[in-house]
Amino acid sequence: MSGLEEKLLGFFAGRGCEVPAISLLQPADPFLDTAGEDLRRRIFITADRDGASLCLRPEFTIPVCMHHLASGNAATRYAYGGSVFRQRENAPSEFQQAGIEDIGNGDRTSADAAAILDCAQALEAAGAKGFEFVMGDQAVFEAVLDALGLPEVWRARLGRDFGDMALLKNDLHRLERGGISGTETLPPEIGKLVDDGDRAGVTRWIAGKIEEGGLAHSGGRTAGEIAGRLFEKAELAAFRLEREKLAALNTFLEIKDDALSAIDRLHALAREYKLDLGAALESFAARLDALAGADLDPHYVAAFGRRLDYYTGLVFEMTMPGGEKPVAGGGRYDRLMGLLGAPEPVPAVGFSIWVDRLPGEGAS
Amino acid sequence: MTVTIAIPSKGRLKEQTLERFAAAGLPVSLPDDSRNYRGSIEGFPQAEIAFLSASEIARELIAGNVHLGVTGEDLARETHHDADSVLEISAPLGFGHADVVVAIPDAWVDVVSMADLDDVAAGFRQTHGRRLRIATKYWQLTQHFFAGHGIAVYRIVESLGATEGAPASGQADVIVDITSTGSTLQANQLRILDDGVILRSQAQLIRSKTVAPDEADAALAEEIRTRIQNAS
Repeated sequence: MSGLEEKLLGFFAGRGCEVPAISLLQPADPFLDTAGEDLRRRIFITADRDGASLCLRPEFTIPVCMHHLASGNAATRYAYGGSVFRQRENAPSEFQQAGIEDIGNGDRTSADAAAILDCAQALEAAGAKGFEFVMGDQAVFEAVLDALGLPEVWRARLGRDFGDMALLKNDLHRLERGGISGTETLPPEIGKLVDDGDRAGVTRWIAGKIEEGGLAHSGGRTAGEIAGRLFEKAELAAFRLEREKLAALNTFLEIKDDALSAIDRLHALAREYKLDLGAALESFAARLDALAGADLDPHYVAAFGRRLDYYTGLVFEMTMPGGEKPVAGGGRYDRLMGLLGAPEPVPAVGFSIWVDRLPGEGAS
Repeated sequence: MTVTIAIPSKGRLKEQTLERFAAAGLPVSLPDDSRNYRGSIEGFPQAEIAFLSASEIARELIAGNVHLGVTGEDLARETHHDADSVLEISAPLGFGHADVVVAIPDAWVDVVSMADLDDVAAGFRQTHGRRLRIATKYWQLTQHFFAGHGIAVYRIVESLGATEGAPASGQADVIVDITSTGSTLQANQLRILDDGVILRSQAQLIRSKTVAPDEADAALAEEIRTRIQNAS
């Protein structure tokens, strides 16, 4: 462990964090199940003699969550620091991360603010001063979609695109002009059943196909499920967003401003297009209030998000002036504990510092 | 020195390769002993033929142990994540055609495109308590193709044979596999997605970029390549 990491861990311990022991060697499945198979080519995987997949710890958040789940702890703040391993182009595979995960605290506003403040103060304690601080919020984006009256199928699709402007623009284009296939690609006899809204008939027809294909009855998609999505798809294809609402969405996505001005712009947007952004905007403002004394100069970028389906709200990054990559990043991931097997949703927020990117450390 | 050329050691791919070499005026002398996996080209004492399995050929080219090799483009691209950086794959031979495709159960009438599959994959966990499963032996090609379509949340189930049976046996939901006529897929009630062709593969004479031959060897390798290409 480098001196800097020790210093950061000492700092976190001073904030009342528990420091769990996290093994270097981790079961690979939780990472691949949550982040997806695509992660496989970016981590180091091996197998034990029973054939179980193991990997070198690629990050700390998931192991810390698993530790929390196994411990049965009530709300706890955890700190960690150490090596993580990923396959990267033109950068060492082993590098250092340190951070905090705050798991189980239902007071989201103060937990979010605490994550930001601890991250900022830890950076300063480590000698990284004058960083730029940018935040985004998936919940605000989802509130805008909601207020625009988009059907659930469209909200889900755009929610998934959030964080990738190219994907988002593609779908916004389809939302305006169409281009998603509806029932026209179907065999005529079932196309007609869908057009007639005959859900039972559609389900029966698909059940026949499943039988014909000899598909396993355990595990695979059921006739009812396929029929349900067929109707959703017809809705997806048929729905068009009026020009004015699309303008509202585009105006929203272009907001990039210091956070206080951004709030004014969000309010102005809500007034102009008669959108009720109620709770999401209030939480956003309350979070900013909680940061008020900290001299952080937060910036808000409306389109900033992470394309991982367990991120649910705040995301943030700190970058050194002129730096290409952030020195720290964090966010709220209220859906992760559920993916890892928690029986009920568990609120969670955290951040991680890229120790090697701190001024004075070896660049990575 | 010597130029080593790897040729498939069995099957239709071997026969077609030998025919092409003969047509190009490069008749390959087979080893007298069938257990000997080395051959030569009449009139080219500096060239050596190594008979290897098709997937081994891709690995040996990447490792730089052979200069030239005939194998399927699918195997070459599967064996290295950035195949073009280590291999020159630009001499298609016109045989060994096979497409690497994404195929789904025909009963999934709601899915015709990768965008549909993205929707299905995204909702899968919630409905089934697990991610969508894809059976394949093509890890690299699958990961790369799915990432290109913005799809990350799925799991690969390794399948080294009879992949087309995976959906019916409940091992996987979807497959990525090769097909030449599509009849095996059809017989298993599977359907290729409209934009689900990952690679239109065929046999290629591939040059290794990781081996640095001397001038004479480079010239010989180039001559062999030109002759093979012109003989089509």
